[in-house]
Amino acid sequence: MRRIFLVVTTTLLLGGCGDGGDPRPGTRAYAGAPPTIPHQVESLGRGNCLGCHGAGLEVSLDGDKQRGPETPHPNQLSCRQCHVVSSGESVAFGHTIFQGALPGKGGNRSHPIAPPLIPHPLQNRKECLSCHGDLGDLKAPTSSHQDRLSCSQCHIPLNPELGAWLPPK
Amino acid sequence: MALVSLIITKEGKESVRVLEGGDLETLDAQIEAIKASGEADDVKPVFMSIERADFSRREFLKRTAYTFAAALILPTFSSCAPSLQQSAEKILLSDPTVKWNKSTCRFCGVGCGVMVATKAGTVVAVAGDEKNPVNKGLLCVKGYHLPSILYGSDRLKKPLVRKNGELVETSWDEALSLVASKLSETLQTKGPRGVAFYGSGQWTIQEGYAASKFMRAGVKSNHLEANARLCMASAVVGFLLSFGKDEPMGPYDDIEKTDNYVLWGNNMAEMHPVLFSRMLERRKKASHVKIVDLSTRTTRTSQASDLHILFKPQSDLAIANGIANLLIEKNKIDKDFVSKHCNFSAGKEDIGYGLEDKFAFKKESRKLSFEEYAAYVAEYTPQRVEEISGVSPKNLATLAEIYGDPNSGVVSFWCMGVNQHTRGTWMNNLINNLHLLTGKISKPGNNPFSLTGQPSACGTVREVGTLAHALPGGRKVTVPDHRADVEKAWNVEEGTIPDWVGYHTVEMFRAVDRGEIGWMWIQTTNPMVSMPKLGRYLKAMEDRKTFLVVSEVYPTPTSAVADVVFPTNLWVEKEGCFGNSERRTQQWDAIATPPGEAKSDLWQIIEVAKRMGWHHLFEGNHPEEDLYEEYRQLTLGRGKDVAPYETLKKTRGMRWPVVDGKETLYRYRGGEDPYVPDGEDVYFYGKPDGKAVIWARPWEPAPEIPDEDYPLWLCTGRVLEHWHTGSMTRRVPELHGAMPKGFIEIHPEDATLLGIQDGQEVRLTSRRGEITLPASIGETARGTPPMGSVFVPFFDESKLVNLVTLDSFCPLSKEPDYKKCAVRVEAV
Repeated sequence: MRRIFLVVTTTLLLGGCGDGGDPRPGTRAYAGAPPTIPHQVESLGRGNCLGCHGAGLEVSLDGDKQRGPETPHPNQLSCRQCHVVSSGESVAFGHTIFQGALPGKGGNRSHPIAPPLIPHPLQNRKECLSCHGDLGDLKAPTSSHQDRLSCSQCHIPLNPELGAWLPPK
Repeated sequence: MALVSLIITKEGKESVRVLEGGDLETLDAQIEAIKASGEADDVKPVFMSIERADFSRREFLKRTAYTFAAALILPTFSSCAPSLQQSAEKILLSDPTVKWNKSTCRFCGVGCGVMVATKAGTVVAVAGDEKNPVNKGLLCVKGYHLPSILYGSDRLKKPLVRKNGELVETSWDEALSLVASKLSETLQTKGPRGVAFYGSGQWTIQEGYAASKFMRAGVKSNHLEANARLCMASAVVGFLLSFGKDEPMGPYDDIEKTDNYVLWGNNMAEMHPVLFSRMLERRKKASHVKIVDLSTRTTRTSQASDLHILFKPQSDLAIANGIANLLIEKNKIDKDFVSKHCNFSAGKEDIGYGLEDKFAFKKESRKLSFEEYAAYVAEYTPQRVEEISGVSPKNLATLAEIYGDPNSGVVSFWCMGVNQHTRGTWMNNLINNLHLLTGKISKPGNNPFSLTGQPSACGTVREVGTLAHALPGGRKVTVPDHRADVEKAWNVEEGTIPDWVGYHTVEMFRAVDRGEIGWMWIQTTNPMVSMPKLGRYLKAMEDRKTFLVVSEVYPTPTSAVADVVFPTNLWVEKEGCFGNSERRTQQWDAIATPPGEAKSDLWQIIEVAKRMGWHHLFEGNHPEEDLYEEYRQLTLGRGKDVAPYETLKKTRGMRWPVVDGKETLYRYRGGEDPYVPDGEDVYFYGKPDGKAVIWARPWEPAPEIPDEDYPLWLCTGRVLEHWHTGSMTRRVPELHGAMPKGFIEIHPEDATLLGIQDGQEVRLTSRRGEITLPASIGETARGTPPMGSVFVPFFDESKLVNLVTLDSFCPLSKEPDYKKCAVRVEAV
């Protein structure tokens, strides 16, 4: 049982089925959608999401790392307003034919040593290191230079002129 | 460099192959090559990661194996299903052909701005609109999953007509002609009073306005209603009786300006999540700010509150009067404000519950002096209030201090708890009273604020007037001048609009059962799930007592009993406007392609009208803009002046009254509201003397109280994940996955007494009917009702709790009470 639990939770943490480009497609309907919660949480209660997701947390089960990434939007206080636990049941009627957009392809650089462009929406992602830090999302690239704190000095979103891919301000 | 594994399917068997060092640009070609070699019938790539220094190949293989194992273990795992099915081209947000447009959320009355990404007419993503001051870029889980409501596999794509008892596909022409001929037939046999139209607060402003013209000037009947009757009619009548004009005076801006939020039976954490998170942020920034939750059940809102006060069902009337009594007793009222801006009145008491067909009620009122009012509320001593409500004198005193502190702001929020109440109008008056007595009204950080549950309950139902007595711009069918104004604007003959008040919603469906209604059209709502005492109306429809036309997006219990079903455009598949709870009118364009032959509700109304020979009601080439501008003329000078269409297209909405291009944040306040005469600080211009009315309203018991046979209170309501009857949200994997079925919450101690355990199927029975559903008890439950009561949400059409509810209503507002009736619960 523990093994199955581990497999399932690992899968969910890692992004389930996987799909091109999106770091965690298994828990998001489309790029920029709030991920569903891949573990049980109190249904009522005040919840203590920040207990793990405040500063980020890494645990090791059977040598396999699992992370509770730091929230990228610590200013927002009503976690379960957007994040829900998915039971695995699909829909009540028929099936969905919605195909969500994925973020742009990662790692684009104008030349081999240029800083890569940011391939995903930035809304509600105010803290880059919450995903790209040491305790960040296992599927996001970890920054090799976390001591430099001004990320947007070098990394900019994929050229918005290539597509109005971020909502206009 | 990407790490990629391939799931290879050959003759139904699957295997994993790892490709490393793959260049993403050549991946498709590689997959094609494997397929061409005959090694595989199908190949699916699983993308793992951008390579990282600490990410070894061994680790990668392990994770790939987990992924694959999970794909086998969880074949129905929500998000896997679509992505495994998708063979279509991947859509990247960086694609230059992806366009972003502004829109408004399709769900509740908060009216959040939503940026919608489309590619070739298909919605592929949404984001919170950072330019919209309502939500400032944040949505709730329903809003974030709006795209999926358009893409359930069972969207209605062709018109259906009933032939030999079955609904079968047909052409638009046949369906429209049949609908028009049945309407003509009914007009001949039963006259205009045999025709009814039932819509909702999900109609766009244009759709509601067109429906009003169709009924009043085409059919010449006032049997036009909207489901907002079931949701906010008590707030309407409450505002009208207190101030002479409907709708809140304050804006959402008060959330950042006030010091106290008092929530009257309002679970905002789940029902108005975006406003609730604004409150939490305000409280974090200003630690003195308090949230007080007055409720009959412990909810997520209660958990987040500073003070949670549980009260017994129906006793809110006594609590509000008890606060008023303490304010007077402790000399906390604003005497200057009250003497300058308020009158006191009393109305009829012991007014019944509307349980019988053709229930009649006539309002009466008499003026009171302040002393008479003070003597009236003096009966609500803290001790008596405690007896009725269970609220301690200490908590009552705290509430009185919050309302009475002249240096501290207070906003009262309420929604269904107060409105769906057999004394809903009274309860609205009583909350308004507290703000009037203390002068905490029409000023920043101080207002009574009734919230709405539908995106345009205000914009369409209240402002356009799609209710049995109402006309656009706050006019009434019973006032000759009002009818004349509207007849002139519509360019129809004098005397066209009937002067009789049509049937309100409950009476309309009762009339269907009585066989009085020969033809009925239902748009944008699902009453065969949402009507109280549903069994009576379901049977009437199944007995085919009326010719029923239903405009719908998905099959529902309502479309199932229709004679004709029109497939209908949803949300951004059409152009329109919604009006939210803070008087903000917002516009969006049609940016998504509707499925199959679906058409907008507006197009459907106009097409049927044309077949009836009523072309003259709908001239012009751009009905969304033309009808809006025609409607706008009827709002000007009435204190409800909505903004021009061109302005709405360019902005994130404007709050009426919009005069000289300026919106109004605080109604009735001098310097803010252009309708307030010069020199007045506050002027309630809805009343002839500019004075609001403080009403003496008593506590009276509920119509059905738990007894030996039915020992528990039943309260019905909603959950965060689902919207209304679930016809949209239950087709969204993330939302349905999070809340897959209806349930009954029982207090753990009651459950023990009844021998019921969490998850066990139980039978819920009232004098009207019974259903079975699983019990939700303790830690896994969404909320906890106090002992002696149970809670059931109404979103699940397979567990119709409205077969159990009572169709009693507030005699003034005619809004049913879904929150109180007596039931019995037993293990199955």
